[in-house]
Order: sequence, then C-alpha cells, then structure tokens
Amino acid sequence: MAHMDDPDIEATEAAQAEAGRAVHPIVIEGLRNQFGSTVVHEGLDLTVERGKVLGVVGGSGTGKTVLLNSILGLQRPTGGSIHLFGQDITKLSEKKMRAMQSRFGVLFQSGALFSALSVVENICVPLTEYARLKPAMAREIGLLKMALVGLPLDAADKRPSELSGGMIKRTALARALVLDPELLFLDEPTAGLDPIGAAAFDNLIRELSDSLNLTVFMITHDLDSLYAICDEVAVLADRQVVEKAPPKVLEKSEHPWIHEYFHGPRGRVSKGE
Amino acid sequence: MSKADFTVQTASGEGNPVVSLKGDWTAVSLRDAGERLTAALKGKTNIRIDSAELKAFDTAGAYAVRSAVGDNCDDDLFTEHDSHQRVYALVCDLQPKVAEAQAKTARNAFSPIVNALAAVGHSTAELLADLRNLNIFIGQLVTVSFLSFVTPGRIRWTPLVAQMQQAGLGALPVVCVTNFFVGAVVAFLGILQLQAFGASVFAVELIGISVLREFGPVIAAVLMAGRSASSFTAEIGAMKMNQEIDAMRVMGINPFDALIFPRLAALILTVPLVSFVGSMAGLFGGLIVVWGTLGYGPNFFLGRMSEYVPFVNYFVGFIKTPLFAIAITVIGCRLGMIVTSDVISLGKQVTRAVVQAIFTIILIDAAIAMMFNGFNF
Repeated sequence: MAHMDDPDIEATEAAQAEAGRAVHPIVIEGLRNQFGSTVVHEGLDLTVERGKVLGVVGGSGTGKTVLLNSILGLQRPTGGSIHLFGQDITKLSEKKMRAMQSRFGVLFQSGALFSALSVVENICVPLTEYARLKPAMAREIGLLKMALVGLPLDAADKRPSELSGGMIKRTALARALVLDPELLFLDEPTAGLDPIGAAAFDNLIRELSDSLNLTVFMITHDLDSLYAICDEVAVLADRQVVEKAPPKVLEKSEHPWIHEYFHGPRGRVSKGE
Repeated sequence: MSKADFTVQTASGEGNPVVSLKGDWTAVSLRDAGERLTAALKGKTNIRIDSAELKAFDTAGAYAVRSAVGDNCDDDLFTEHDSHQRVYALVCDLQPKVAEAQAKTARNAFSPIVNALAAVGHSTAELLADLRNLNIFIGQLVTVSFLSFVTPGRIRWTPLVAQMQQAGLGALPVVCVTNFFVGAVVAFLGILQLQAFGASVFAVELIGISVLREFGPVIAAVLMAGRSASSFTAEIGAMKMNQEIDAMRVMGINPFDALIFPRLAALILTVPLVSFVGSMAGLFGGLIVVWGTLGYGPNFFLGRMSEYVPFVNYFVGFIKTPLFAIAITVIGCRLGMIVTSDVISLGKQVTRAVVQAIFTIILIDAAIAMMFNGFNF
C-alpha cells in the first residue's frame, strides 16, 4: 500500500486500530499458535462487532477449538494479541481476568455440566461465585434462566446424567447466560441434536441474542445454523481467517474450500436447490 | 459497578408510592435489594417506578423488580429506555412460571421425619436390588467359569497372563516389604513379653504360627484388594461409561469371558503365590530380629520352626487365599459393572470396592479361623 509512507495517515490508522480495540468485543491481531513444530495459526486477524452473531467454520484440524481456547484464556497464544472489550487478555492480572470472565459465557461442546450438581445448581454456579444473593433468590434466577432457554421447570432438580442431549445443551446455555453476559461463546451448539431440536436451538440463540443484545461467537459445522442465525461467517483455512462475510456473500467465494463447503453435496441440500 | 439500591416516596395526598431505582440492578450487584424492595412494597398498589438513576439492568434485576411490584403498577415500566424495557418484558412473560415452580417446590418439601423414613425406605430398596444384582452376577460368573473349565478354548489367555503380571507380580514388592516389617514387629513384641517368663525362644513358634497362618495371607490379600479391586472397578467402570461393554455385547463377546474370568483366574492363581512369598518375607523379618536380639542364628530358627511349627499352620493360611482372590474379583468387577454414565458414580463405586473387599477378606479370615478352631487344628 503506497499511502503507508505518509506518517500522518499511519498515525491515524494506529489510532483507528486503537479505537477499534476499544469498541469491539473481540479484536484478534496477528495471532500465532504453535504446538511443537505444528503451526496452527499464523497472522490470524479477526474482529467481532457488538451485537453481531459470528459463525466460525473450517475443516477438521484448522484450529477452531484452539482459537476459542486462546480467546477464553485457556491457552496462551505463541504470539499476537487478543483484546476483549479493549483489554489485552494475555496481559490481564488474575483479578481483572476474573472480572472479565463474568462478562462472557461459554457453552462447551458436550455441555461440561458438573455431574455432582442438579440442573438448577449447575445454572447457579456463576451466581454463587460472583454474586452474593440469598439462596432462594439465586434459585429463582436459576429457574428464570431455565424458563428463558425453554427448559421445563420440573427438571430443576434432575441430575445431568438424567437429561437428554438437547436438555444438556439448554442447561449449559442457561449456565452461560446466568450473569447476563455481553459476549457468548458457543462450541458446536447444535452438534448431536436432531434437526428439529437443532432448529429450535438456533431460533433460541437468535432470539436471545436479539433480546439481550448479545455478541455471539459460534463455532459450528451446521450449514443450517449459519444461514439461520449468523450475521457473518469467518472461515478458518491455511492457518488464517481467509474470509469473513455474510453467508450469502461467501457462497460466491472462489476459495476452493469455501466453494466445496457451500456447493458440496450437503451444501446444496441446505440451500434447497 | 455500584450497588443496587432504591428509595420509596409516597407523594402527599395521593398515597401512591414512587420507587426510584438507583445503581446497577444486575445479578452481581443485586445482593439483597430484591428482598428489601419486596418488603418495602408489600401491600402497596398503583406503584410508579422512576428509573432515571438506574444504570445497568439485567434479567436478574428485572426479576427482582417484577417479583416486588407484580401487577400493581400504574403504567408501562422503563418506557424511557429501550433495552431495559425489552429485558423487563422478557422477564414478565416468564415470571409466573418461575413463581409457580418455586411454590410447587415449597409444597413438595416434606417434614424431616418423612424425609428420614424415605431415606430408610430408599436404602432398603437399594440394598435388596444390590443383593439381587450380586446373585445374578455370581450366577453368571459361575456359569462362565464352569464353561471355561469344561472347554478351555473359551479362556482368553492374553488378558489372563497380563492380569497375572499386573495384579500378581506387580504386588510382590509391597507385599514382601509389608510382611517383612510385620514379621519383625511380631518378633520384637513376642520376645519382649516372653522374656518375662524366661521363654524368649518361644518367639520362634509365635512368629512361625502367626505369619504362616494369619499375617502372610491376610496382608497379601488386603494389599492386593487395595491395588486390584480398585483398578478392576475403575477399568471396567470406565469401559462401561464409554459404552465399550455394550460394544462387546453387540459383537457377541461376553464381557464375563473377556474381562471378568481372566481377572478371576489371574487372582486365584497369583494370590496364593504372592501370599507364599509374603509369608517367607515375614518369617525372614522375624528371623533377623531373633538373630539380632537373642543371638540365635538362622540354623536355630529354621530348626525350631521345622520341629515345633506343624505344617497344618501353613495349610490353614494357604487354604483361604483362593477365597480372598474370589472376594476381590467379584467385588471389584461387579461394582465396575454397575457404574452408570456419570463420573460421580465411578468414584463412589471404586471407594465401595476397596472398602467392601477388605471388609470381606477380614470376614472370611474370621470365619475360617473359627472353623479350624472347631476342627482343633
């Protein structure tokens, strides 16, 4: 780029980048992840705007889960920076990280419910950690979240081992939402659900993200989910985000993997052609 | 982040309370504001809410407000702030359901006496189911063992030998060291007490009889119960959780053939051998102490042993080792097979396996001691 030589413009761009980090919930710049000699991410840039639902797709082994773990602070990246709400999470103190963790909720792929606790106790775990509510009030808020995600309230005292797959996902979603986070991470939310259950779950996420003004970062393989709820889709390939656009735009992409993804045997079925 | 708070003002003349919400009404900063608001507004109607000083507002805060004011409001709330209104509307739809469920829980709460009776009934039913389950397990195991005996082609030798190495040979060092110390301690105490009668040489008989008859086999079995019963439960339980047992059944492999009989046979073969080696270690510990404190060397010790410790003592010790082996395997494997799909039940069954196995070993030992006492052996 020619204009990069101009110091003024360079300064403005730096300021803009700085402002961007402050405004957007997730800003990832030049992320690098390496395990031994395997480089998973290199120079990965990704920005998620407030109130948007971002889908992340990519073939197996392209590092979707590694990316999620890096953002969540479960895995320290080899290089680059990750800003959540304007703060670099690799440099946060433990106390600030804890405050940050109360601002996002995570739905893990298999639910990750605590098997020793009942459904409503599972949902109330973040409440007992972060809020000092009376037990009865905490339980009522737990029940409220159950109602919010469409769980039958008489399942409140069941154990996770007694739940169906769909109910486990809903319980995990209720737990992720219990502190009314601004940012929600979903790791394959519809994997393992039947198509009707998956569609209902998609609707639920869309409704909740609209009514609670959530920003959603969602890893998925489900094309139906992409079309149903994602504002934008980021495609991971070649260790980077190769494209980030609404699904309708991505359909026309020339990138071989994206083309195969949208126009392969399953892609066509999804579009009803 | 500021604490959730409120003030209630009653405008003069009208008598309608006006509630001003202040600070952050969110889950984290709510504390007991919800309960206080409910108490302050009890019995009040035509409530008006002023949210000018309200900062953050989430579903938890909305729920607290909704529980407190109910339908006793004059007009639509939070009209001046779009997102607050949306959150409040969402919660208003759900609040009746929650309140109903909460009331139902309160109705269904029984008195402590009923709960205690229910607990007794529950554990009785569980015990009966457990006994039934134990009988079924033993029945299947006996059948499979009999069939394996008649047609040795059924036996899976690889897991059998592997278990012999893991459960048997692997236990040797710890069994030997423990028995050595037990033998030594028995010798010390025996010599000390018998010296009072000037009969300290009888310590040799004491060591020989107690180690061969009791300590050797029992200590070997208790240590092997701690090692093997727990690992059998954990291995089989983890396989059960991972649906591996179901996969075997579907492929026509009987888990009793593939998993349980090899473990049973391995322990029946190795517990006697390990306890024999353990007994020798125990005698060696005694020998060393006798040599050290009384000055009687190995020749004297072994000579006196062969003269005054009849072979029947070893026989009584030996005869119970296969029974210990059966107890360890049956308990370890059965509890592994009843593990359900959650992690808690795995931990619970492993603990039960070790406790029950050791308890059963002591019980068998006591029964056999009484029996041979009756035979005057």
